[in-house]
Amino acid sequence: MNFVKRIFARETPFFLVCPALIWQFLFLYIPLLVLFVDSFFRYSNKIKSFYFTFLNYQKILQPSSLKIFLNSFFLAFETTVICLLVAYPLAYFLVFKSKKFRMFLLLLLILPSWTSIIIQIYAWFFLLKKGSILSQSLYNMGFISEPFHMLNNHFAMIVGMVYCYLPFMALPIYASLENIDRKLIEASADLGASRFITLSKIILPLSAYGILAGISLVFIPAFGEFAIPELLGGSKKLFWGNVIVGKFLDYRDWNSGSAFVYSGVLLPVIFLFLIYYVIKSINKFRFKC
Amino acid sequence: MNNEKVTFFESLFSKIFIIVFYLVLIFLFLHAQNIYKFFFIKERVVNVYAFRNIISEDVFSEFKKKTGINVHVTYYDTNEEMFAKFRIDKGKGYDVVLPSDYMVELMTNAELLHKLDKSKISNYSKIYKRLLNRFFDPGNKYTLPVYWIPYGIGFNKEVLDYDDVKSWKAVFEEGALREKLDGRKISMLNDALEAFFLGSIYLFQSSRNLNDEQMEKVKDLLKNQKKFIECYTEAGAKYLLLSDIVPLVVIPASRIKDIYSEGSYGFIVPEEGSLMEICSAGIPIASQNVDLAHQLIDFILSKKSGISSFDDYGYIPSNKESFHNIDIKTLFGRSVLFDDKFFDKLHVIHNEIPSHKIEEVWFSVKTS
Amino acid sequence: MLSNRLTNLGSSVDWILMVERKNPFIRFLHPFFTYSAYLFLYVPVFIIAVFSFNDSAISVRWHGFSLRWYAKLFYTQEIIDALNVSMVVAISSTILSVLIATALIFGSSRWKSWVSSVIFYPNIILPDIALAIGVLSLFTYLKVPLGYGSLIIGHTIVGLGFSIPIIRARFIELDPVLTEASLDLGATTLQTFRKVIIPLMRPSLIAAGLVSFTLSLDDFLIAFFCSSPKVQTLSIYVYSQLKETVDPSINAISVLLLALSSVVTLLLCSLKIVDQVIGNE
Repeated sequence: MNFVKRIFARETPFFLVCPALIWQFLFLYIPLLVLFVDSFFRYSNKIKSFYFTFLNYQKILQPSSLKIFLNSFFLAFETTVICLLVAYPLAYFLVFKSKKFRMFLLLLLILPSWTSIIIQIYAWFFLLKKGSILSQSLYNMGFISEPFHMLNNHFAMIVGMVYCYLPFMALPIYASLENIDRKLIEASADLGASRFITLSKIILPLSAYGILAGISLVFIPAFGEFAIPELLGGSKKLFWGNVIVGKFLDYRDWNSGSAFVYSGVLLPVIFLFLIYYVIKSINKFRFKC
Repeated sequence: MNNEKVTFFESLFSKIFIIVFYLVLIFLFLHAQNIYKFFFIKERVVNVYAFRNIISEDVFSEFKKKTGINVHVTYYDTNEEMFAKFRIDKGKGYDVVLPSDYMVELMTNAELLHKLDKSKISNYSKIYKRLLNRFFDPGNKYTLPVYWIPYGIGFNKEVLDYDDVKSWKAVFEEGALREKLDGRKISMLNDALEAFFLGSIYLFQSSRNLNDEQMEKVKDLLKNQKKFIECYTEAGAKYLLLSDIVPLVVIPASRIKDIYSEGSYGFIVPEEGSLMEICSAGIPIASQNVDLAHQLIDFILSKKSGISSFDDYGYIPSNKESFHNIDIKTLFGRSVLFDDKFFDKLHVIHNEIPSHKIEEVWFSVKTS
Repeated sequence: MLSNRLTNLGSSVDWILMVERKNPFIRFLHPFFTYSAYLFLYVPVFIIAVFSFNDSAISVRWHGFSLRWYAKLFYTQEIIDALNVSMVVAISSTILSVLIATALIFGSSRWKSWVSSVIFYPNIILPDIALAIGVLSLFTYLKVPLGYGSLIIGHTIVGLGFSIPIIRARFIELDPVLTEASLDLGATTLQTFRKVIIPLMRPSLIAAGLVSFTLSLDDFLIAFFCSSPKVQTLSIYVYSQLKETVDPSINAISVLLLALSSVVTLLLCSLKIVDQVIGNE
């Protein structure tokens, strides 16, 4: 017994660390690895077993499949751009312009990001559907000829996407703007720079990494979004997320599904690296001047 | 801290022990349900694996009342999900399974179903003849049809009449109903196979195989249709009709039944023909309660079960006596004669085209 | 940190405000834009909340105040089941996340840092779809039916991803002098653990718990892949209802879920502010 106690005392760290590592490897890394390997196999009814092939990936290179990646890319891109254009002035206002209500406004900004996405979708569904108060009021005020259904189109989809992802863009930008050393701004003012120059040459570059963080937090999930296009966009377009859902849940074709997953995971990552290098090189260029 | 030495092997052994300990813990956690069932539940049970919203739960509770045997139902959402599972474990743990038509063929080819002993099924003679002896189970050696439903056009009777929608033109050709639609659009099914074969039935009356040129035509047809589609959905069609967002939807007839009482809605199987789904009952090969399974299938086929399922979910029972006792008007909005001519128009999907080709068509339709 | 920032802000905000006053266009437009954005964020939610009390099933007109949709929640069995599932899964995954994360942080305190950090980055970085599909495929290969197990495991993965950095951040800041002092004064490791370390770490433990709880409750994506027809979370229930019928009881569920999430988030934020303030002293 003493022997056991001795060993146990020595191995306590391992005992403690094990659950987390086992959890991580067993439930995350190993399944993903198996899926990756799976993506190189297909089932053949003729030989009643799986065989090694690149066909799954080749099929993705067909125009119809590539268009799906493009769809997702443009959706994510449009969402990210709009979020950025709205979030930056918003964060700027919070950091530099609001003294009294700042904490309160920040809280209001954080709250929506901690609610279920399905409820956020429902919120716009309720507002944009035919019998909603919005269409009814627009009709009553004479803006439209009859109350109509504002769902099942691109507009509704983008509204939903921006609504769900705006806080994720705004918060990192807020954090990075807040971290800017005030003395730099004051120095710029003292040296006679106009507001605009201060903004573009000092504030914007210093918040670049916040922008990058915001873009990552929006672009990557937006790329994989399938619920909003289905519920608010009327399933009129297929996105990468929809195909994954179809292949994994409906048709149970995991081989081509895995190939789809892995090719899709690469795209946003590459895009983000591109932006990162662009920002880095702009900064380098700037410091040279 | 203890300074006594522990040998390398002792250390390694204890590490392995710890890992195994956690793995066993996780294993117990994952299989907790099965362990509970194994040790604690000993009554007579028949396990059913079924599609949702086809058979009424009352049927199972009536069965329990009548025979004292408990029925435990698990639901699956798609045939493929069931097939993938059965391919691995041969349906172990289930006694009755309810696959759709085309899936029966796949299952019999993979030898996943038990042969049926028709002498144990007293209601066999009452099954509507046109539903028997189909391509997916010739001679009905493995399955018996329990419910069926046609696909077609559901519409608002206040906006359109039966004449307007008697042909698939109303759904596929843009100009056909323009004045009556008055700027509104329609809704279409969101399933690649179903959409593809509805188009193929409209153009070529085929639900089996098409050559490449014909496939292109179907692809163009579906692409053109997209312009006046409000939404691709099956489940949401009911809501679209009720809220008067679209006056015309493509759905299986059972969906109309839910809203029949809320206004005047009709359903029609267009003259070019349409798809039909036949829901069959079979016994997985690994079942351990084959006799009980036969009893349950017989009960599902009985007249009362058919009527009560129709009342709940709108699927038409295969028992002739049942469907003389149901109100077909609640499905079609008017009375309909189920004669040979009617069934001649209905096709069960008998797909011989490789699935990736259909997927390619669907992708290009949806990305256009 | 926040309190320091607020004092430093004073001068530059004044400067900017001074400049702003000279440009009426910006002076008006910027706040207008900001407050419109906030309206955009909150009006839809407000409308849902208002109409959850509307005494009418379909009509958009106000028919009178009524709690009947909330009452309906209580006798719809599916909703009660979904609520149970959500709660059980959220609480279980929270407890698991915090426990496992804490064990990891303590156990690896003498090891290299990447064990407790880098290995767990993918939990946050990878899209949830990939996580969910991983769990789904594992369960299918092991022939374990989906349900509580898969949901809890999936949510714990995400929970770990957030809990580990939160707890680790606080753990690193712990002054080892305190631990040494406690041990020198004769307390056993266990006593030191219980009476010294845990109380010091308590804010981060609570924060990690609140974060995991909210993430699990609000999760849709993982539940979408990992739930079964019998075991559904509230989000999945709302999703299935959204596709088929829309009746104000969904508004009621939404309001309740929103209220719950908001309460937890507010707790979390108040905790962090308190913690920051204490940390600065």
